[in-house]
Amino acid sequence: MVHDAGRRFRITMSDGQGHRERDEAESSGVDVTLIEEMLRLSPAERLRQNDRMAAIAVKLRTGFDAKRAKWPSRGT
Amino acid sequence: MAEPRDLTSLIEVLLDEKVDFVLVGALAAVAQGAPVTTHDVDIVHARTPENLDRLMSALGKLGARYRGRPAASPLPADRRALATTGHSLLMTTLGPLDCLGAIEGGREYDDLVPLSTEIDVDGRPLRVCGL
Repeated sequence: MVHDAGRRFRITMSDGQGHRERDEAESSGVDVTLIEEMLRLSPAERLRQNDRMAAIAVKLRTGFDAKRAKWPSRGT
Repeated sequence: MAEPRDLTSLIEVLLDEKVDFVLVGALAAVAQGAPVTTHDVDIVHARTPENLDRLMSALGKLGARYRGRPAASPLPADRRALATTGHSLLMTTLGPLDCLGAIEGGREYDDLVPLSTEIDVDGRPLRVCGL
């Protein structure tokens, strides 16, 4: 089950080998804290968080598009 | 004007209509804890006549129409297309929904069920494709 997967992950991350795995992940640019944060949420909370993040992304893109529309044309 | 996005409610409509489907793609990863954001729902649906009836009912409630069509001539979801292994890329009142008859390797609903996990979404079981 997904919740079990989350528990397994946290258990793994708390032992010695987990520290090495965490270091490896972080040296590859993986922010483990983000994964841990997601695993603390229930599946329904994760889906709702995605909706909120997607809404923010749409707002930012809309704002960016509006700003870009005002940029002078460079011509070719 | 950007289309609205409420992907959680979109999934809830499918669950309310008792559609048999497996959630796949990025939202399946999100449901299992992946720290990414996605803007659409991808499902592989069972293509039995009974399930297509339920899916069509849900799509009717969601005002589903094919994406990429001119607004002046919207094309509603087509049951015959949903009965194939093809992909129906739809826009609904709650956001984009891709109904996939099959995914890579020709895997269909019955192939994905054993590879999937059932998760609880506010007391309702949601089947998601394993990572």
